[in-house]
Amino acid sequence: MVVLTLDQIGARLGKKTVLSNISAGPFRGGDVIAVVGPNAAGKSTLFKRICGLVNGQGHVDYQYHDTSPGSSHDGMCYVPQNTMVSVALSVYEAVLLAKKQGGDWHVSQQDMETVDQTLNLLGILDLSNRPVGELSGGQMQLVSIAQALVRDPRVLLLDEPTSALDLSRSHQILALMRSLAKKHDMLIMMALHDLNDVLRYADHTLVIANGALVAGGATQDVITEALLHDVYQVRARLEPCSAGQTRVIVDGALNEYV
Amino acid sequence: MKLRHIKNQELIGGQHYRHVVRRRLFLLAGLGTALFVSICFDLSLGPASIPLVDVVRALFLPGTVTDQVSVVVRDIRLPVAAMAVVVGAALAIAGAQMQTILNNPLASPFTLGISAAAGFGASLVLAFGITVLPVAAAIMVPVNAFIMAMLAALVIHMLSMRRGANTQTIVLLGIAMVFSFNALLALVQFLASSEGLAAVVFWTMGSLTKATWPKFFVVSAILVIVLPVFIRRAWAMTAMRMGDDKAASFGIRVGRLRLETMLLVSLLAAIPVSFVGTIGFVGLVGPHIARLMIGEDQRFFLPASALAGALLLSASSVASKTLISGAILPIGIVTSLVGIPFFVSLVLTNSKKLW
Repeated sequence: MVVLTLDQIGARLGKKTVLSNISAGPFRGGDVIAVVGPNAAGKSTLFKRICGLVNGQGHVDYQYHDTSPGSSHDGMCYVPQNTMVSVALSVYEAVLLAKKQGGDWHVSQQDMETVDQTLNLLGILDLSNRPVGELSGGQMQLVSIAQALVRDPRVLLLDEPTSALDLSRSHQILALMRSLAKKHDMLIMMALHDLNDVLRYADHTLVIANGALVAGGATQDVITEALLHDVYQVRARLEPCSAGQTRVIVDGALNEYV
Repeated sequence: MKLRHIKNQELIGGQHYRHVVRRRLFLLAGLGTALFVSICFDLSLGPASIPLVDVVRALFLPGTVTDQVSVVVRDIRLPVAAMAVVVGAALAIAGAQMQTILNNPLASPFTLGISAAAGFGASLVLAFGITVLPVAAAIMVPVNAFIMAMLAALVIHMLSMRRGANTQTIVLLGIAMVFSFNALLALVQFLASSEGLAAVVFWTMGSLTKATWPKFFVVSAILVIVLPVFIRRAWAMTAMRMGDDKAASFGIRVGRLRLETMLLVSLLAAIPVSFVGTIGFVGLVGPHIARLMIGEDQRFFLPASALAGALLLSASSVASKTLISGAILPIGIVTSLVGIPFFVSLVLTNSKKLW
């Protein structure tokens, strides 16, 4: 079972404090946590701080009792924001190399089956022969998610996983993430921009603005009209739709250019 | 009659990958064969032309040819031909790994100023007998070349680690290094005696003719030391091409891997250059040929780069003897003249958008 607690963590890049004093959790395996906030709020840095790519004050308490043998990493996988690469590797190889990190040269039957299954799970098995340099932004995003899933993570940190995906793909992925979390006791934390997605798919939500935690807790309690006004600077309403779900309706920005 | 669409059915996933691996092994074997043929031509050509059959016999059945043929092939031409192979392999591996860690298809020992730095270090010894470290006279040139090359590599590494540095700035810095060291080299030539000047000029043209077995063994030893390190890190090195953030997210210590690779690469680039002089473009073109043929999985990319580099230099050695009959052109001139058109055609026909 995975337990993740953030205890007053912070981070600096150069001389600039990018994150300070963020406490949240404990989160457990099976939780889906959304990290939201305006651009440049520190969401990416928070992910990097949690998985140890950036140092800083505070403590990330991460308890994980590995029961599966042969795991080559600590169970935490981070998927950085979408970047395009021009490397002479096929989609298949890009996912295979993620699987084989820390492993030996030999690619076993089992390795290949795992890669096939992962590609199939994300619906990109038909892309497996394509060079990654030829992919669209959305396709590359799916490959990045495959590169994390193939490593059998217990904690998955996804930095804006749906930013380049079309409407149906983005819902497919978010629904898949939620079902993976519930089925495999995986803890999934993802940075999202669409608050309606957050309302639908996230159990907990952390709101980051200017490197600080503005609000955190159960998603329904966190996303409020006051928050939209104060943090996002928009005039917005939260209203139930005809299906009975709460929806965010934005009427406009507080400071409009025209 | 049942229609069969098996031909149209594209294999995907692991099934296809198995074919890919088989094709790559086949391509590697092809490169190896081409290299062997090139070596045989290299051994047969020279002031006295020796039939290919006798070359092969002299190599594998030394008793079946005359002593004269045996001496020419094994003692006179083989060190040169073998040196072309190891130098080509070392320079191409250096280029391949620089392109990998700097994530830049333009990186190579030649384009980033490492060769120029080695040339400057060597020229200090050749012209004035100035050494950086007090070492025996026999190894002054290589040691000086290596230290200068390593300094250049470290400067590039440190600058590339600064925040805000991207692949473009690294290449621009490399060009600055090339110009700086070439200017310093010109200064050495200007100040040198006519005897020293001749030595420096000949050295900068690059030549395999002074190859000896001890030099061959030193370059081979470097390959034997460095290759296992790269082999062990094949998956991590391949991941470096996915970008720093992605590589780090796989648990790779990006900064450390880059620094260690840079040091090993400067060793691979500097030692051959210190023995045979400036030989350009093998380190740039070799990896590109490998990449186009075989992709960038380092398990195949690394041997393919080594073979492609070895083949390029060996073929250049053949060309250096045949372009002007009766003369052996300095090989540095040939690699550039032969390599550039070949490289340009590769780049222009690159349909896979690999860079």
